[in-house]
Amino acid sequence: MYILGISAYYHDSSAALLQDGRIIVAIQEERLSRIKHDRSFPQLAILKCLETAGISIADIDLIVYYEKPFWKFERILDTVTYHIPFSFPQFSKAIPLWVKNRLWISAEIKKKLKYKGKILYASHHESHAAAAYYSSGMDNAAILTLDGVGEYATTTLSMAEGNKITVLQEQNYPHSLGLLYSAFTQYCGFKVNSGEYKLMGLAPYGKPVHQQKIYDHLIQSYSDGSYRLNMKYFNYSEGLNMINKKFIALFGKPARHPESEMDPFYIDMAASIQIVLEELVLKLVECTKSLTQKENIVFTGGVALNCKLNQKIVESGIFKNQYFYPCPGDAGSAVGAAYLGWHGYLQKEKTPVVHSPVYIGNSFSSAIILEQLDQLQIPYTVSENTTAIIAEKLAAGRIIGWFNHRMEFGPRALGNRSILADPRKPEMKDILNEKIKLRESFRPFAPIVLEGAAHELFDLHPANYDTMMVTAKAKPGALDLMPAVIHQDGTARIQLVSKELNSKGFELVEAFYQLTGCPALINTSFNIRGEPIVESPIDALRTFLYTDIDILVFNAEIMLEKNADTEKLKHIIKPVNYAAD
Amino acid sequence: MPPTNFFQSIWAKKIRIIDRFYFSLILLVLAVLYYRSRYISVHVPFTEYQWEVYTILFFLVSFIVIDFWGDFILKCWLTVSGLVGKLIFYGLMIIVYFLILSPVFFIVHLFTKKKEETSSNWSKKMYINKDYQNMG
Repeated sequence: MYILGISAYYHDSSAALLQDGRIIVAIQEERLSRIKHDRSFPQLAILKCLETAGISIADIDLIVYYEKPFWKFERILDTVTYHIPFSFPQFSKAIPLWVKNRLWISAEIKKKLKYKGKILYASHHESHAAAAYYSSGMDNAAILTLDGVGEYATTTLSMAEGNKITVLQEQNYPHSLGLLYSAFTQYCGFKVNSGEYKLMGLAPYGKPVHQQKIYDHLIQSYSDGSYRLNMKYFNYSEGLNMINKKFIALFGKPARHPESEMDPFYIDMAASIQIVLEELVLKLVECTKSLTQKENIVFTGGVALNCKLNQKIVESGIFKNQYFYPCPGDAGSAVGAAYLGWHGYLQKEKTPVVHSPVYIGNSFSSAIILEQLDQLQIPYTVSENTTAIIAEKLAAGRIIGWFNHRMEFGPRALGNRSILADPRKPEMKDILNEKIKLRESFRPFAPIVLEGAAHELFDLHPANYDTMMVTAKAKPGALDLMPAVIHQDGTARIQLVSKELNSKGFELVEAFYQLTGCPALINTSFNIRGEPIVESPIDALRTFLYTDIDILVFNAEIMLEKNADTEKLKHIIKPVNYAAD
Repeated sequence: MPPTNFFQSIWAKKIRIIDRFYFSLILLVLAVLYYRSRYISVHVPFTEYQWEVYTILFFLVSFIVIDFWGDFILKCWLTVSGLVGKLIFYGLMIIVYFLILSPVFFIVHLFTKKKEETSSNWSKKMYINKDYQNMG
């Protein structure tokens, strides 16, 4: 039985295909449309899912949409009418979008996919929770879901036992920790819904000097974990901005202009909101514990992308085991929606999780890649022993574009669409930021680390460190060994790699370890600023050609070195200008 | 949708032969109505206005058969009708917002009791999905 989950129209549209209780493929629309955070109907992703599974739309038994459109529309109308007559900008922006397609999602799905079967609707936070819990492999858990906003809910505490998820507490719009963090993201000059991770990366450079002011004026926290935002300082429920003049007057400086020089004031602001978020979420985690009395917690929703916060959760020891779903944003909700069709609607029992929830994208066989390279008349070498060769090149300071079989699902490149480099060289961080990724100099890089060696280098707790969802404190030797991946605060957003999880990635890091004694590599996503992570060999070739990546490797056996011949390709493969994210 | 996207989307649109055929058919119906009211109802002999009819028919057929010409006219039509549609839609939105919603909800809010401050902000009304077949 096949169930298709769809997430669309907010940010990061995606599709996921479930077969008999197991997710077999999931793809984000942005990877195919090449529009970062593409929110349109995920037609390309759906077709690619079907193609990867070798089925047609006629084989789909159920389609599950990730939220309840009418609840969301009701919330928008509620908010708009509450703020009359100041909410016209929001009203005039929202209504055409809803009238055009969002209210007719059922007809849209049927028309665009030529689908004749049943369509179901999960709720937004339920989809988040389901994606995380059913992927976790746990049999029971408390689930904390935190995001900007779903239909009404912004914070949900749930409990899962077997195949059943029960919502216990819910906090509703406009009180949202996700939106509070987004407000500061905008204030510090970054894009809402995409720049939050930059704010998090900036935080360790500053001091939390505004922390008390935030508590005094912007948010009231209650002993039961709930909280209330002082909406006098925010504009998101009536206008098109997150903050208003009162917010700016409170802190005494205007919002930072995007791309302008980074003033220490905004760095302190990032540090302040980060610590407030951490404290408030820890209270929520405590509340979740007392409410559920479970030993396991699953944390999901967009806020769960904050890996510094996740580190605080694992270090707190409130729960015995922690699981952080690797695609906790809206894209992951397509997976949750598909799971809910199986467990929620059809009431099917849980099936054991047999593979990673990450490497479930589409892939390109070596034969197809070779055919494309031959068509382009590019010189390449094919070798079965590429990992040893690449390890030597990495040790010599070369930067590698690593394109390996199934694409990752989620925001992180975890060794299948990655740029790899030597973490022992401190200057590598600046080289990658300036010459490869073309992004801000403060942005840190993360390491892919051999699972067996990680305990000696990092302070680890019971959590899934295999998906770059949690930072870990580096032990004294780690900074000397891999300075390029240790952040300002002495932590690293590690990805543990094992043979079972990613055999080729493991082989490469192992080969590098044998050669250098360093059991890690820099692993950053295979893209430049503003570009979605590469999906196809042509995307990879384009990024390879127009950056300072030295070597491109496909499926760990096909290797291209940059030389005069590859330069000629620029006449055929043209660059794409991506808007800064 | 920003105006540039609106124009770009129309001019990038692929016009099919069937679209041009439908468009010509609509114009033909309008032309028939025009001639009926102007000439046929007052019994003017066809020979006196036949050149007008043949010219119109010539243009209508050319919309269908000539790729560039038909596309161009159709895209002009889509642009103008789209703009008129947008104007009407935004006009309606202004009317609905300021003349209907604003006064009604202003009165509603006047008589709505403000939520009292409590020591918790967990929601009393939870939105729990009870029916997967329901859109909300």
